[in-house]
Amino acid sequence: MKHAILLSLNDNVATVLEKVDIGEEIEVKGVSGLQMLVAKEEIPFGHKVAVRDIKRNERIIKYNNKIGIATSNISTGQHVHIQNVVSERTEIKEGGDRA
Amino acid sequence: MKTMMGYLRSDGSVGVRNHVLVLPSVLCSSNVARKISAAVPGSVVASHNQGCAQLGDDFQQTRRTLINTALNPNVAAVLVVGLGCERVSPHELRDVILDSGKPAGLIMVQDYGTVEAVERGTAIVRKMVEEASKSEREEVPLSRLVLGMECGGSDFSSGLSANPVVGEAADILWREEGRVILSETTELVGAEHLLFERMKNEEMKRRFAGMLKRMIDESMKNSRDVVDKENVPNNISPGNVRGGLTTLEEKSLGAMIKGGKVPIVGVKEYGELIDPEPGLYLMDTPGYDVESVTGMVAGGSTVVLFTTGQGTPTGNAIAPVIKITGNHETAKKMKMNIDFDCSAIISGKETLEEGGKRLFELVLRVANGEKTKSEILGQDDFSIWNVGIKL
Repeated sequence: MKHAILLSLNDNVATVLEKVDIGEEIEVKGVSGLQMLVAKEEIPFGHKVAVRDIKRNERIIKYNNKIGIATSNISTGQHVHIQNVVSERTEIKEGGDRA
Repeated sequence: MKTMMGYLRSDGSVGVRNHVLVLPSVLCSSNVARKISAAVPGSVVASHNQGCAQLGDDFQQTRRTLINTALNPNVAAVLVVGLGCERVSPHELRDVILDSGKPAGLIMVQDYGTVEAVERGTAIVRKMVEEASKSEREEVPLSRLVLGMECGGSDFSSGLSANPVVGEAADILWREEGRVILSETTELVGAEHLLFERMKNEEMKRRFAGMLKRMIDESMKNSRDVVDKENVPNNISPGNVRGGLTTLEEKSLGAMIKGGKVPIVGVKEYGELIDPEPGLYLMDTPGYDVESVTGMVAGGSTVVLFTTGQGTPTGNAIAPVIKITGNHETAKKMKMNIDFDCSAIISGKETLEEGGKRLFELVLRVANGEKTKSEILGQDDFSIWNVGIKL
């Protein structure tokens, strides 16, 4: 069994604390307790795994904040990274408006 | 209501240390200031490279940082050591400190020459230490504590354990209506829209946007590496992506999380005093550790929480710096420098919440007088961020 850490209650991704192979069980330790899931893909050390199903265009939440947008449907146990997430960040405008 | 044992100052602020500070107004008098402090155990010195041949905002930044460092509640009394011909006025420094109700003295090197200036200065500081030592700690609300949050020498463990644990500590202090300073403008770029969303008024947003723009413009004068073709800061490297960082938001959040979920109530210039209102203050500083910590301590931080993956010995002349790592190897190798090991979060043996509580217990002990590793090792780091050319 492998381990992952969920940094906030609202996060939909956890960070794996060791390399995880396809089909391996992951114990996700979070603020509110433990969750078990099965890796659907290989996930490198320090990378993110989906802890619930995420729809295309849904926000990826880590640290209780949005870190990007899903570019495809992502199911629980899948690797979440540049192949299925894009940044939302935009140019800095006076007054904090976003382009 | 939680309490701590601190030094209540005449202006109502609370210090966690009771230092007599020897403060040179300029680089040229710094050597004399160091000699005076070395002669009197119980005094500290804030030796620096600024104070003259500076213009405009750069000069104002030095002046403001020196004054506000002297006003920090960890300081009981101050001897200003001037040269005599410098741009920063040592007389003004002394007068502003006296106006705040804090004992202050002045010695000018050009009046006596080095040897006699050291002798006279030493006599003044010796007397100040004697007086300061009569102060006693008293029970005060924990809301008087001001934490400064810093990260340096970050690695994979920082965003996973040390930074979120510091964020937990920030949230605990916020529940006690305390104040927190978050700095390092360069580390906030990429997730600035998330900070804008946490700001309650337009003035704050305007100041923060100006701060980011200034940092980016200045950086571009020297190198285009920090920005991509569309002049958007692009500080995410191929190594970051291999390490599991997907977006710039994620990278900057890893640093920003040190401020926890505390509402943002102010945006401050480098070394500017924060307001009495509880909450989180953003301060414009470089990511360069010693300069960033110096700015936050001038702003009013009385304890600094410093996360480090790879380890660093950094301390501060007047504020205890608590060194926190989530990298167990670093905690072992740099045992003499690291105050708090939170690697159990990464190994799954401790939750963030538990780690946050454990860290806050240490913060409280340090506030009450327990010495940090950097204090024991005499790490009296102090360096003012210089933003202009020297004449």
